Amino acid sequence: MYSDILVLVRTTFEREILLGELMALKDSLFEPKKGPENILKDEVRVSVANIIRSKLEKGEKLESYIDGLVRTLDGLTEVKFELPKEPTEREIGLIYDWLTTNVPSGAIIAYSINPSVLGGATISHKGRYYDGSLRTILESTLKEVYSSYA
Amino acid sequence: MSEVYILFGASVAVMFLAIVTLYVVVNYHKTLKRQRELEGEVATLRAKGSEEARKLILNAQLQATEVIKNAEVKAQELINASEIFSKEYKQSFQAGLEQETNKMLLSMSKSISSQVDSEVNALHKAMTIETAKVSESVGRSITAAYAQAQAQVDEYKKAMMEKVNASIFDIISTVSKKVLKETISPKEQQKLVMKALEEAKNQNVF
Repeated sequence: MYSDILVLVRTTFEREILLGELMALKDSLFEPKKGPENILKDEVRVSVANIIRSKLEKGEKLESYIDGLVRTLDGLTEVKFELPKEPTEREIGLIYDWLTTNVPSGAIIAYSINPSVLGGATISHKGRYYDGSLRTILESTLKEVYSSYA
Repeated sequence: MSEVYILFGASVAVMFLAIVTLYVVVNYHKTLKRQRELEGEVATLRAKGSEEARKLILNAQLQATEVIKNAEVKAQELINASEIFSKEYKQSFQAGLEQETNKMLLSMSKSISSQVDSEVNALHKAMTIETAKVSESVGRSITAAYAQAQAQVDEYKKAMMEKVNASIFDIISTVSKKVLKETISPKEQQKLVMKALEEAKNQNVF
């Protein structure tokens, strides 16, 4: 039901933006002066606005659509990544595609920036953790080398 | 900050080693000078010994010749004074006496010469042994001084190496991190992240 719009939500940041747009739309339902169409024109991204318009044209009720979408967005599984720097668009795309293929329940990317990671990433999912950072690889390699010479 | 400490430590180590090296060089120079002086003294003594030996031989030969000549003269005087012996016998005796005297002189000369030669050789031998002893002694003191300095250098080197070893891990780690942080391209980062995802999957993170 929401698959067409969920494609636009790959990260927690993108989810926050969409939630903000949806809240603005919902508020407009109770403020006749603004009206949903004005909000769709002024405060919602064109890609999101087009999807919502198509839903409304198919007879969807805006309020119930928004409520259902918000619930779905809140229920999305987060996979946490610690990255050395702001990821590129391509990097986000690659990670999201991988998650779509390998996490059947679906998941979005929750990333934070930590320069000490150096490269790679640490990954957390449902309480499980994997450290694939270059920092850890480097330190364990150096410790191995150092202990063999000590 | 640790690099500054290491740099400071390395500078102190270099200064210390320079001082130790200077100390060794100065001592080595002094010892070498002393060895040369001793060798000079030995050479002088040897030359002096040979000269004395030559004088001894000459004096001994002169004295022996004088004694024998005097004996010959006395014997000749005694024979000549006697009336018992005939003129032919006196002449024959004189010839025989001169011949024997000459033989004796020659034999004595050889004997004295041989004895003095033996003494000079013994003196030379003693001098050689003494020279060897002096050289050995000087060599020992140089070796001892060098060994002592070497031990100090080794001890200091060991202490510094322990300090360097203790901080080398931190230095390499810091430098590697700085280099890695600046050299990883977006493409390499993508590969690392995808590899991390696959390994996380293998470890049942998903």
